[in-house]
Amino acid sequence: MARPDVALDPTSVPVPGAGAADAIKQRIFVASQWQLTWWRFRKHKVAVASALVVIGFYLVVMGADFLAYADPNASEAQRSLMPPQRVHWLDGWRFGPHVYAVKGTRDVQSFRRVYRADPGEKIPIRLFAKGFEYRFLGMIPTTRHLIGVDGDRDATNTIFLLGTDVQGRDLWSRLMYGTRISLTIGLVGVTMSLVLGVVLGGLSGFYGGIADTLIQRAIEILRSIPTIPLWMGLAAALPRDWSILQVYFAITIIISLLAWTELARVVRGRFLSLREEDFVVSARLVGCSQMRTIFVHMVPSFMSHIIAATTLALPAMIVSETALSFLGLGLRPPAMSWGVLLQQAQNVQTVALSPWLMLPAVPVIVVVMAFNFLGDGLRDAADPYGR
Amino acid sequence: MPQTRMAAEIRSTLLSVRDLRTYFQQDEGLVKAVDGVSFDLYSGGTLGIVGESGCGKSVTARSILGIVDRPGRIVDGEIRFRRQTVGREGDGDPVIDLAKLPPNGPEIRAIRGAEIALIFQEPMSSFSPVHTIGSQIDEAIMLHQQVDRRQAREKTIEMLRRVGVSSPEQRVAQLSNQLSGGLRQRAMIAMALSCHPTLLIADEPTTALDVTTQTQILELMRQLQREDGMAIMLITHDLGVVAEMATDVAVMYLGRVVEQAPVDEIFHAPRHPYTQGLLRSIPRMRSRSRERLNPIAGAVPHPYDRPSGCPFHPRCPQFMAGRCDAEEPTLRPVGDKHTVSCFLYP
Amino acid sequence: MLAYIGRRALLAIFTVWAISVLSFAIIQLPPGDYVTSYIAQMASMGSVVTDEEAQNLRIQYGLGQPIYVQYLKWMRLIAQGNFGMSMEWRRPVTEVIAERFWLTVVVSVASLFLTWVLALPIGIYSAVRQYSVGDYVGTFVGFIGLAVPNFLLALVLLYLGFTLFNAHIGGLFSPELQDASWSVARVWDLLKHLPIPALILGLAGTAQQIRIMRANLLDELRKPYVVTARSKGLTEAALILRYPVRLALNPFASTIGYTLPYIVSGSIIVSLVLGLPTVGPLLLKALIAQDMFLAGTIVLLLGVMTVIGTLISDILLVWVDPRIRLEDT
Repeated sequence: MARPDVALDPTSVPVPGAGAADAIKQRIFVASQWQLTWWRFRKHKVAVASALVVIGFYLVVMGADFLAYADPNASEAQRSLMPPQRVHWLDGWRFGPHVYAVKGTRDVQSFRRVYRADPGEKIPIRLFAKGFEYRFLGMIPTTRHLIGVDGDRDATNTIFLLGTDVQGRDLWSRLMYGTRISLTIGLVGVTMSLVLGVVLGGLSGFYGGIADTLIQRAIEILRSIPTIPLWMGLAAALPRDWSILQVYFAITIIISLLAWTELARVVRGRFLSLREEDFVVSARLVGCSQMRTIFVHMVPSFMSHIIAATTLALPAMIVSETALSFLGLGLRPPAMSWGVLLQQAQNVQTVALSPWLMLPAVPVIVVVMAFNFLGDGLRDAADPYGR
Repeated sequence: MPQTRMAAEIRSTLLSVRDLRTYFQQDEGLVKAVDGVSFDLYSGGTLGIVGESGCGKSVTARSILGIVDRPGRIVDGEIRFRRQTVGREGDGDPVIDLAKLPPNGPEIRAIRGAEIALIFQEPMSSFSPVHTIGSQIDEAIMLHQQVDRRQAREKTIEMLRRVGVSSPEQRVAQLSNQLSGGLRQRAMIAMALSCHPTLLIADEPTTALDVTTQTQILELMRQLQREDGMAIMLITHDLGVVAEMATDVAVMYLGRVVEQAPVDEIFHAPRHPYTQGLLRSIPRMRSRSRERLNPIAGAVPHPYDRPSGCPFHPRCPQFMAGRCDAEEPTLRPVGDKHTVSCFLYP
Repeated sequence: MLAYIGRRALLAIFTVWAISVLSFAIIQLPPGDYVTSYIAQMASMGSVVTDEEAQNLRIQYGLGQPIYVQYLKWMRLIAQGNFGMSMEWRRPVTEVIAERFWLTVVVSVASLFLTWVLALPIGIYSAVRQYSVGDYVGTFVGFIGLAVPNFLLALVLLYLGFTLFNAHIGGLFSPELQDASWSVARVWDLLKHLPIPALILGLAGTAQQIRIMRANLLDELRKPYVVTARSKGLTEAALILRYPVRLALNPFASTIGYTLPYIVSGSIIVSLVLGLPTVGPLLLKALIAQDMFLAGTIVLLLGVMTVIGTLISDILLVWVDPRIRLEDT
């Protein structure tokens, strides 16, 4: 006698002796697209680690004032070009981080300042010490910083974890503030590129025809132009008397003007392939308006791709700003960004004597790598056909 | 119904597969695509391998030639093949186990194309889109025969003519997308037969073609088989094609052969419940109008959810509780060259 | 095929026009007009510009007239080979740029060539031996190339060379041959100094191309014609090179063209760090000194050079892909 028809759903075939494995597979079959993306993303250990790194960096952005311990603009000729101080963790046998006080003298032969640490004079490092005044999160005035030293902040009595620059300013504190500017310029620029890219790419891909041809040609033209000479030219043309903020935004706009092409290409490609999909055609046939078709049906399919592309566009922005400022054409002192900090490391002679001036290169490299891994991980997770 | 049957002589076995297992280790689990396949293929005959999509027919074909895609691997079993020597003789020729050969080593490569050839369902994507048809066939010839390019080209043109491609001299310089579906399949057959193999494995060769072209291609294959005396392993899900072409039939379900028999027996005296169900489900030309179709109850299980015991038992109308879901049946002889894997025939 | 090349050439012309407009914008942006600054400059050197000369210059450059007229006059001057005067160097721009421009071309082309030569085999190997040690190493090196901005890489290498090997890595020539006239010895000297700048410049592009090649090849390796080739009895190496690689080359070749703008761009900053006698350092100084004709011309020439290079690579692509050759559209 034939068995009664069972439903076509494979998970409901009664298979004796399955149990727990069944339940897990059931979850896989009913998971939503975002859940699948998240699970796939989680499997990429490197991408997850990179995400944590990126989050860490943005925490620094928010707490830059707190993490810095010296006024980044306080210059002090007596402390010019001091090498990083070694932190000694044990005081005798107890845990007591401290640095040695440093005496600086001018070497008569080379006319350079030479520094010597004095082991006799220990300066203990305090947690949550008092330092210069600032507003935490822009609101709460306070003088507490993560670390610092007791007593007055003067030339002979403070720490320089990463050394100082030519004007005797503490490099660590400047690096904290520089992180803030470098990372936020990236965000603003990417937002602008995103808007331009999505709008133009969308027009191009969805409507096709003349709009597509024009925008495509424009994109190709822009891609053929070497960017840096152009940026240099435009940046150099900015009036010298503009405020830092105006320069900041102008630089962002200049960089975004050429950077949107990559995002537009991704968006266009997605729209083109989605346009022919049956589910889009059926949405139209059912009577959805164009707006609804685009935003409710098409956009969710490639949201994850956009996110991935955006994440990959960020490091390019950051590097562009760093490059321009490095050349002296982007942000200028007293603004602080990684590029501005690196300006002091422009030639080999300086760097050979004070290699710590190259240290701002480290966060650049780390952030770019982290964003790249993160973006790659997101892209792989979003792609349903990936391995 | 089958055409000229082989004379009642002792037909020698060209290929003998025993308990072949090819598994795929995926992230989500182990897929046992081929899980204990055994059949015999007789030289000069045509073995039809039938089964639903996903039952492991293609993977079996690829396992024979050792071209299973990663992450698939042959994990167990024997594939005994009788190699041809100069002047084919009967038994006593060297028989080798293809499953044991080192993957992509010189021995298996010498057999591929020269002694066992494979043609695919999709001739369009099976040819390289940027190389000419001619150059791809030349390559097959030059790989296994000691000829120079000019001679290979002559053989190519000759082969194309033989399979019925018009103006072969012009065709050799064309790309695969410039030929029609039927012509492409003929070109593929030409490439496969260019070195005169003893066994041609055809994996759904007519599924992608329209019915008229289908008939032509099948007729071509029969003709070439008559002329060259080669064996054909025809993989298909179409019982009509099997009835027309095959001398023997092996029925596969979920990675196993459940029945093998000469074609007449399969159609007139099927033993396995699955085979019976398949034959019952074919709509008859002379049935009354509005008569209900007779599908096999249930659906093919998910590859990660294989039933225990006999793989067919959840859908079997003669299911015996306690036996069929507990043990796995093996192939037993029930007649002359007729084997069945079912507990109804212990 | 001709139609295809024709389309690309037309596009190239449009691009050159766009670049010329942008270069012109750069020239015009700083406040003040050219002639007044020129006169002031001459005056500071002690030479006087007569009113007549000043008037001629005004007419020549169309000063005081609408912008598009000025643009057209500038274009006409360029067509005659007159790129203007460099105020900083007090010589015609063409003289100032001369040799440096050709060196820029040499460095860029060398970098592009190196990218090809490195990216192709590494990409193929990464795809074929996926997840192997070699693949991970290649991917990692690739990431270094992508993550470390080229000028920082140059800086670090300079530093290491200086401190560890006491060698001066920068520059394109040894000191004694720096200003000499061209000879075989000088060419050889150039070739000896080229690899490091070419590598630094090309590393990011190489990394990108490796990833593209790897992805393309992975896609192609899954396709049925690969299985067909294998079933004929070809060795793995032969079939991979002859079929999927051949197909993966097409999109790969089309992307190579777009690494050229990136390389030319990068050469500007890297030249600064490494002290190469190319157009880069010149451009920076010109911009800072507001020597606008020099700056604008450099931007224009760099752009044109890039466009020509991209066009050449597009033509090469056509040669590589017979499907485009056979099309009649």
